[in-house]
Amino acid sequence: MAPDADIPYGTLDLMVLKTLDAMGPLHGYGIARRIEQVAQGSLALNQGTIYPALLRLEQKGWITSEWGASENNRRARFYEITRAGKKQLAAETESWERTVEIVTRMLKHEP
Amino acid sequence: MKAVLREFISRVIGLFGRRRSDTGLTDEIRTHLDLLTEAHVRVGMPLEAARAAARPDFGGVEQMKDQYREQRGLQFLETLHQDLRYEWRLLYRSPSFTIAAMLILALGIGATTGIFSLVDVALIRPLPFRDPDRLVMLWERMPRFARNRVSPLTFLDWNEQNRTFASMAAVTSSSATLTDAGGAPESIPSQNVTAGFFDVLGVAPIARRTFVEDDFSVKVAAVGLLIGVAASLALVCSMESLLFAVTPFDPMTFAGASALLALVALAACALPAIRAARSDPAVALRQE
Repeated sequence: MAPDADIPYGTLDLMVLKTLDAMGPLHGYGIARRIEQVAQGSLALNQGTIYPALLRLEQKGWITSEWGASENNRRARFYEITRAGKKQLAAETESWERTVEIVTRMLKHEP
Repeated sequence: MKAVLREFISRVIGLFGRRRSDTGLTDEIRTHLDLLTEAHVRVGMPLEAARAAARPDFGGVEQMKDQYREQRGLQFLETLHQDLRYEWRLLYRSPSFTIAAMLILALGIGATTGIFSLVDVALIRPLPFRDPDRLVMLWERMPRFARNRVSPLTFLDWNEQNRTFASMAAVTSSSATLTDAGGAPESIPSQNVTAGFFDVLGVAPIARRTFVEDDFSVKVAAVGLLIGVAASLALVCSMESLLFAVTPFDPMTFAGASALLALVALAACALPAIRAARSDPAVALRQE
């Protein structure tokens, strides 16, 4: 699966998990819009790409989905984070922060 | 690792109900596009322009659907399935070619399997005996025959004088006629073997035992000896009255009589044996 030009493969999963953890159950459009909002325009996201990501997260057991009705009474799938998903989110957050710390330290070391 | 396993299982499950999943995805996409359109309308765009603007926001639909399907199932199996269905359609359309190809394959596979089974058992597989690479077959070499079958007496000599081989046994082909359950006679190939045959091959029976040298003849001889002694004692006791001052239980009499009997028996066995050993086997057999 070719990653989006702007978003690395793994971080999209992380952002989706974080969004669902913070906002509660959302449908695909809601998640995509929220991610764009938080990125404050610095992210050019093809909104459609979250659907394969959502499928992957559901296959791994980190989120679940349910059919429901959207705001405009359309048939939509609502996604919710699971307990395993919360654990995964915490682990990935820590790993990400550690990576950032190491890289920052490496870059600061330049004489 | 658990997540990876779960993903794999989900992918396997994803092979089923593909059509329903596709319908669901189409619904989701439609809802998403509608919501995007409405967002543009809300900021003042006319409906048609809003709909056109929603598309690039979403990105390539078909491309995303392909990625989605790839994520959903096991691509290898799905492609395989597709290819098989296509091939089947092609073959079905030209039946004569298909049948000819099948027959040729069947003949080829059958013949090869048959030949291999034979070669495997005859040449490749080791003999089902103990230490098969130490088993040898001995023949007699004669001017006319490079491999002559050995006569039983020759084998006995070889066995007796043997210092090269761990053990020896002789075997000769034969046949037996047995009747099966229905009463019909059937000729079955068989082999006559010496007592040590199974020991030489290192093959043990599932239950009981095979042959043991001489145990049969020793038992018979022992029983015979006992009967002989008992019978002779009984006979002598009954004759006691007819003999003068001789009792059968006197040790001297006993010893003398036994010695005389032994000499007679020895002579009876030895003289013919010496004569046989002296004569040429070929001459003796010719006179039979």
